[in-house]
Amino acid sequence: MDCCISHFQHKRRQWFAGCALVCLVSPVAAEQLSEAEMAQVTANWECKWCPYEDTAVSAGEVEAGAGYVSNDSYKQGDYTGLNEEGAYFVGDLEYGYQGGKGAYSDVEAYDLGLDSRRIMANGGKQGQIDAELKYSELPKLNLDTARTPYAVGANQTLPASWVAAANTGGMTELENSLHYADISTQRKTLDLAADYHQTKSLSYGFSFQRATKEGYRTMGLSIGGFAGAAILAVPVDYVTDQGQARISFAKPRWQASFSYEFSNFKNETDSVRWQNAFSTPASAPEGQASLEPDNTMQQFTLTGAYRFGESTQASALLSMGRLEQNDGFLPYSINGTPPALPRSSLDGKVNTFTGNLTVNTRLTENFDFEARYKQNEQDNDTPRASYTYIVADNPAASGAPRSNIPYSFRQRELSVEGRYQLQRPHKFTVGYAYENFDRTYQEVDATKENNFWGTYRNRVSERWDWFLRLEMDDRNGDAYTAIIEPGFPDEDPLLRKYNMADRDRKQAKFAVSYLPQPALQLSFFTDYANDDYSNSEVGLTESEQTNYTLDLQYRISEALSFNIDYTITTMDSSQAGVTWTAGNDDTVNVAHLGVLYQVFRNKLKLGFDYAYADSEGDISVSTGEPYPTLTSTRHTFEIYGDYNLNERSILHVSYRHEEYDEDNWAVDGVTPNTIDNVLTMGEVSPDYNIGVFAVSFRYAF
Amino acid sequence: MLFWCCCVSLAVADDIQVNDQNLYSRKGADTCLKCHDEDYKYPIFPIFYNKHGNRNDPRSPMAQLQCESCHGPGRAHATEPKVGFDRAPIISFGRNSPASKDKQNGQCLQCHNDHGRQNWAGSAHERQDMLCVDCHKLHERHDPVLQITQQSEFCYGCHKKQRAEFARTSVHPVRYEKMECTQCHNPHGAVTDAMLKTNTKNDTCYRCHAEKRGPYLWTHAPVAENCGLCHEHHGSIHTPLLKKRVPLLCQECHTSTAHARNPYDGSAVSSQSAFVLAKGCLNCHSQVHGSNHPSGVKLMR
Repeated sequence: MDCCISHFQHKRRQWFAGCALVCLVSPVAAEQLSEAEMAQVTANWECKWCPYEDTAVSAGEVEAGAGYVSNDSYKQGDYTGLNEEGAYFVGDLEYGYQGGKGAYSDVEAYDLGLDSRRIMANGGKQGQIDAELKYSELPKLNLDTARTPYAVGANQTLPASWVAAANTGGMTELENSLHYADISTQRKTLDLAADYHQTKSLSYGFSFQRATKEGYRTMGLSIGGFAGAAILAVPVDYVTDQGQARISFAKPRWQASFSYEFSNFKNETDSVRWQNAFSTPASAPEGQASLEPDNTMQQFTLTGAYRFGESTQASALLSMGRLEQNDGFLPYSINGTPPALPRSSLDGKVNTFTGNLTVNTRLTENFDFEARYKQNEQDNDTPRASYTYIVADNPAASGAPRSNIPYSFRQRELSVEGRYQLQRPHKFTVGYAYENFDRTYQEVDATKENNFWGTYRNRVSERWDWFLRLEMDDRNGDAYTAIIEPGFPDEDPLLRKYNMADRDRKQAKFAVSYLPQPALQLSFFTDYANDDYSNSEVGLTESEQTNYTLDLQYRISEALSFNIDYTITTMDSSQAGVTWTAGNDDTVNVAHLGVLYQVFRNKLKLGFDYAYADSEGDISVSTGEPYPTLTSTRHTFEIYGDYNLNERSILHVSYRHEEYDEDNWAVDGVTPNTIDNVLTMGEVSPDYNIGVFAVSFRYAF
Repeated sequence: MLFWCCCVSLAVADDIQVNDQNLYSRKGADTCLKCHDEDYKYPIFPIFYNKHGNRNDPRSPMAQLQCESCHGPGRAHATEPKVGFDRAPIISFGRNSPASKDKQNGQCLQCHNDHGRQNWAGSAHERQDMLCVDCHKLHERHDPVLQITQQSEFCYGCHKKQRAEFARTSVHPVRYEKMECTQCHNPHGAVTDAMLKTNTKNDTCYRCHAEKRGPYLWTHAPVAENCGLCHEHHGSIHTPLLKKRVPLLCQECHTSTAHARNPYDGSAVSSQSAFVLAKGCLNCHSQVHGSNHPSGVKLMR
């Protein structure tokens, strides 16, 4: 690329137009001197004014303080850990060390006083070896209003005084037996990673992660088919180990990487067993369900890119993997004497393949062209067998035997795209993609999809910039042949499952940005998408989504800035049953407002943020009255200030207030015995009004 | 031909013209720091505390041509201009720089040409004429876009629809600053859909939700194909990130002569129907991601 360093350019301006082409098409620019040239250039460079050379330096910041949460709320604490009324510790830390000869280490810790804490440490010798250790916790708090009569765990029993009945109304000991169940999980993740740079162009990478997830989730389980179901608090006790080993080469013209990746999932609780709360069926006093089986994934991946000349690049990915699962089967039924199983475990095996090849080239100064081929497939090699069907642990009810179905699929896509810059402000892109999606054991053997799109961008001036994208997509499939399995009710012959149905898709996006002055930016964005399943008489028939966003950012002065945005999204869909139609109309409004004010330069910073989100979901069905509207509304206000006590110390004060309310007809007013044949947990929709106050002291060292 | 190439400036009209001599400064960073000192309006000194400023790493710009590794030869720029003339330009970065997009990004790609960025050319962000410095701040001690607490705000600058999606009631925890966009996406380009870091959308989901990977004895066919057939991956108003409520979500594909065929209108709420209230279809068919129970063919075990 020495061509970009000209000793003669002032004498050769007439050649610029031609020469510029060469440099413009070059994605890599500028000076790459040989080591000898570089040594010559830098022979007398001392860097004596650089802040450090070989001496060790370290710097950091520690923050400590206290916060207070005004009320209990699981929803407020979801992901944050701020779910309990009372005080909590505010603790953050950042520390960086750079020793001589490239040694370094960094430590960061955040939210140390909460269940959402995370700690990161990395270190090594820059340019040779980097090692990283990360630990994080993430609370997922779902319900604290759920109640159950069961002793929660892997084997759930009812109190000795329990009175079973044919329906929940007859369970006379229910109210006396209910207790709250904590429906939440805590994810803890430990990451270890290391990179070793053997040379400038050769490196090795290793990573390992162990993630545990413990707690309880809800699960609806019935006994005897439709006789009666109960929603249980089911244990979550997952351990997932995953890791990667990689070797990478990076040269100016080409890069390549080869990696081995694995993931092992282990469920420490492989089943849940529970006592039947209902008096029927008499032959099924218990139920047992399998929980997620242990599984493994292994994958080899080769990626690479090569630059042909200065204007053409090819990149590729080739990946082959295998998914396996061989957990031991439970019996057909926990009750009675179930028949023998055809095999003791599944021996499930799925071979995966992903291949991608992309070539892009700059044919002329104004015209880029790209061609891409993608293939993704899963070849399910799981052995088939015929399994007896005992209906929900009721040995007196069985259906026709059924064979498992090893679904496989292959997705292939070829696309081409051209990008043309007419004159500087005008840029066009057109593209076409063809996709073929093959499936086995499903209603449609193959779908074919043609996709056309075009974009136009006009940078009218330094102030105006707008963008338009239009897209049309047409998907057609082979004949739709309903899957008929003996002993099981058939799907309606007019049904077209929407992932395989014929579909016309239209999409449009428009964005415009305006800067009336450098400190003020206004922008508007909208997009529209319509999916029309015109050949589907039963199933999803149409879906449509629109989105409008307005943004304003204004830096009123060096000290004062302001931003506001508003987005409205509508998501509508229509579907048809055999004798009915239904419509879903969802609307979401989201707004943010932010103000940041530096009251005294470097002395006091004040900020205010407000977030608003509300949603409405309306459902109508042609046969009767509409559903009550689903709603959620959230207001979040936050005001904060940083006062610089001195060069090293900052006093931080913040107050955050959040109001949240939700109406959900699925659970509102539904007590554990509201539904005759389902013993529910009677949770209520979240509705809270909470303040979080925090004061902390930051010290930089 | 080489001579012809060597005549090239960086572009014709809009691009920067490298200084006349294209000579490097006499003292490297010491030349630059004479003017760009700690009182300079754009703080540059924190770079000495980040990886770019570490001279002990032979790969770092400060260990090579120091400031001029990125900003180009600077002797003319460092020379006091004659009266009436502007100071000779140097390669600067940002939207107001006279240097072209290819020139600016090319400076970064000289070194950052590893496997994580090998698909930058032709990527969605490259096609939108994005500059590396639109997202990255090279002189700061900690690049803000790499911080989990700040990254999403950079992305939302353009991805406004996604900002609204993450404000919904059922979301992945990006707005709580517990998850980054780059946990799933590679903004430097990928040969996968939506620039995902893994080969497929499902592979991305399985990194945190490996329990749903199977293979199961009784597979729910759409699950292995695409999680996005039922779930909105960023956020939804229907917990847990569902496209719509049950039973209508299930009834888009299930119409058998049993209860899946029947209509359930709003009166099913007041009549306390098990098909609608609580978990709806999932009151019984809870194993929607697949079942490994020998009697789990209807996803009830």
